[in-house]
Amino acid sequence: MHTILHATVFGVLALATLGGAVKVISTRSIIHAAFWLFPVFAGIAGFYLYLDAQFLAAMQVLIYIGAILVLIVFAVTLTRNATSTDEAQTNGLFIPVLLAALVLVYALGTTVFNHLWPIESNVWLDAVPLSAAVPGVMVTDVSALGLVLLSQYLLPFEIASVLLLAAMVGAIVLARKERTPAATAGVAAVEAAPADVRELSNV
Amino acid sequence: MVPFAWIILVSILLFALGAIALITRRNAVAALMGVELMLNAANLNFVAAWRYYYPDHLDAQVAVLLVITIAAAEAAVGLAIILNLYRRFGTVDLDQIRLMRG
Repeated sequence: MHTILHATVFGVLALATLGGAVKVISTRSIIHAAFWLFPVFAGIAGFYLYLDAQFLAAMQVLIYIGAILVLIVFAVTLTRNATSTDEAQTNGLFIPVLLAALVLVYALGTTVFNHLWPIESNVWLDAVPLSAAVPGVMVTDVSALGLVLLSQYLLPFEIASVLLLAAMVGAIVLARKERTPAATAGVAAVEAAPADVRELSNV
Repeated sequence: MVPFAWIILVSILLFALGAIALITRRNAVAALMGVELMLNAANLNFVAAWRYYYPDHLDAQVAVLLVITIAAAEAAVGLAIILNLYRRFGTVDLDQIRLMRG
């Protein structure tokens, strides 16, 4: 009974994730492919919940579904009609790439199944006990994650925040509408320059 | 809990599907969706390995958080570049865009 419940939950999550992914690569309409990302991200969030990573599940919903998915839908609508649905959506490489992907799946799958894991990998387990990461704090608590993030992993955390700032500035600069072709050389420099220099740089 | 290998199998299949999308799709936005699928597969791997084999370490969760952060940055910059490409070339077909400079 216990086993059937777990298998059902796993089956539903796996079906949502993999079914959505198959539709993402097979749907002709690009906007439909973008919407098919939703079951994939939601399925992964479900896997995180199943694996007791509640905070990551919340982050998955917030960032992937709330931000990245919306961003992709925006990009699709802003580049609408760029490729119409009646022309081929894939380049000529589909069959070779499919074969290569099958080889990849076979290689990785046999590796996982044959690897000597600390606990055998293809047996049913009772719930693996979650132990305390920091004394007195459960490993699934957000506070444990916060403590680790701001002590042991402070440097990666800071680098990631600087990276986000750089990405934000970079995205704004890249997506901004340029007024002149010379704007790539820096709008401010061109505007400060005398008129003849400006004309030269427009050539 | 379901066997560890089942979850890893889902992750492997998701990674392969993402790779197929990345390589074969002609639309640049769809190729970017493939990257997102592959990043999600890697994250699922991290979390599964943490839960089954290292439940007293938080390294995997920190790694997943950093990967999600970087994925957000990658999506923002990537889509900005695609918008720029569309403005310059009038297409987002990766087979037709061959120039690095406008």
